[in-house]
Amino acid sequence: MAQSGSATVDAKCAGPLLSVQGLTKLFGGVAAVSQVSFDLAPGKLTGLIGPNGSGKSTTINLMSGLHRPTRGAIYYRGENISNLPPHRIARLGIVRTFQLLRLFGDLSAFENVLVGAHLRGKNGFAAACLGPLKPRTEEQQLHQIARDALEFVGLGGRGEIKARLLTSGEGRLLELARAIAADPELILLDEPAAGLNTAETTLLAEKLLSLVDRGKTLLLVDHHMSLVMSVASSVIVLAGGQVLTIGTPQEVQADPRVVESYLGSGEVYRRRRAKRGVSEL
Amino acid sequence: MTFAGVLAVIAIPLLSGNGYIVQVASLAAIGAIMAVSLGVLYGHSGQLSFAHAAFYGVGAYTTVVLHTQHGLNFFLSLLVGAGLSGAVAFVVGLPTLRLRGNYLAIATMALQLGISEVFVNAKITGGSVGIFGIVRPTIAGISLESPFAYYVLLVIAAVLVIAVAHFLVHSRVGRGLAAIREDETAAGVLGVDAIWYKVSIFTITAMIAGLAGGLFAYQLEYVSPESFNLDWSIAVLSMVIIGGKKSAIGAVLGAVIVTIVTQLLFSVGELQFLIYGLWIIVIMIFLPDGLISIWQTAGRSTARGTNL
Repeated sequence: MAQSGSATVDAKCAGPLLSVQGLTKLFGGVAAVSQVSFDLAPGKLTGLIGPNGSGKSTTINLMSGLHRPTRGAIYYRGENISNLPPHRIARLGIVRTFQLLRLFGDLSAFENVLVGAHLRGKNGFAAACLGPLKPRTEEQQLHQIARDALEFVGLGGRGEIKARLLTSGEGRLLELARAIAADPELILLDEPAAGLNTAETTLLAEKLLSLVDRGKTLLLVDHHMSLVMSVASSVIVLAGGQVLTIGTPQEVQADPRVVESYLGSGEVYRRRRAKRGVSEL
Repeated sequence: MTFAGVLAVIAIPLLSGNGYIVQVASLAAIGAIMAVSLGVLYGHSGQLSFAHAAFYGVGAYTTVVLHTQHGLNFFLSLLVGAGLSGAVAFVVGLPTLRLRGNYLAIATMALQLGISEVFVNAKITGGSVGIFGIVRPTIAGISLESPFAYYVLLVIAAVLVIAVAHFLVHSRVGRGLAAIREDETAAGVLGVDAIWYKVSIFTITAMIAGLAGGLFAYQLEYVSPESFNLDWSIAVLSMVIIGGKKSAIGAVLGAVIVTIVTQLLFSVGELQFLIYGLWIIVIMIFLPDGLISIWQTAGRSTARGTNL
């Protein structure tokens, strides 16, 4: 992780690193997200929150190329990336983690992170077939990158374990290590704290802030307000597939609409019950 | 120790001076090349091909037509044969490997059946009779006419293929392929170009199968379509599964076992395919990583991922 030079913010890129403009995604006619627009400032940690079903996962899937938007576009450094396949988006410097762990179960933790370092190397099929006839410098560099990334998330001693034998907390950290090993400019974190206990969550928050200190741009998707509010410099709130508000953590927390979208589920419940009561009569 | 043991096993057929033993050993060496090729594609990269016998056949006919009938240099003919097999794989792989799942298995099954028909009916392949009168070449003044000399060439080829497979698997692209096998979506978001990787490894392993076919034609000294039909694709798959689909050594072990058992079961005819089928089922249930996993579990000191 010592050589994170590419992560420093380009002076020319004074505007947003990434800009989402009017993003709409329909699944069979139903809008998962609708007219979503926001910017990600370079070198900052932005939070993306919202109740379940508010479109957080769809947004991150669109940003990483797993879905294509029905309407709208995503610009990264001014380039429209909305129709690029995932590996091209990764190559531009955007890497994500998954809410439901998607580790390479049969590979060791270390090998998982080595795959994360894939974009840091160049050797292709021809070089691979040559074997020892080709110098091992690149391979040694990738191993060092993987060791550093594992060390960074605190899994330094677990490298030899197969990924599917790790605890779910360790698996989350391994997802993070794998993303870090790619040395992306922008990391999209899909609920990285899910299933972590309080101590692990605190540790995760520290790691995320230290990534920001290194000049990384982070988008943290979570529905736990406390983690996001403690680390984010600005927060986007989604509700019902639309942007409810964008602001600093203080502004967002004070916004009555945000409180309603989270706590208002009681209201919905009451209304449903009332409706059912009517039909029962 | 292991090295000396392997060397001894390779040398036995030569020292025996027995033509039959050398012939079986030669078929095992060719089987090993095929099994290692399919092992990299199926076991390591997770892409199943039923057309390996077709690629083997394309390599065999091409080499024979170019070398025996048109007098092209033997090694050049082998290379063109391998290249043509790779070209066929590339053309079939490009559309099918854009899709995920078992489409390659289905497409290659169709390809295998189609190419088998071509072998039986085309003029250039000699139709159902095949091509006779193949004479083993003389290379750098050394005649490979004797099956013993030709066996040495086959062993050298097998060792080279095993080495290339080993390097490939333990490289940056090898890890990318394993990642595709484990989770193609996760590999993609980390920058692995899954389609390109799948098409490439399918093409490379088809080229290796084509090379094996060219070598086989000169081992047997004649070629005919029944050597290149679906039965052989399935026999190679059984080698991979019986030996161990995640290990090159396992694939070689599977090739040796299947080749010897095929010889022993020669008299039972068609029944041998029933026996293959039963074997594969038993191994898949009780030893999903093949016979080699018995040895690996016994000698395991680390819990590393792939062992190929």
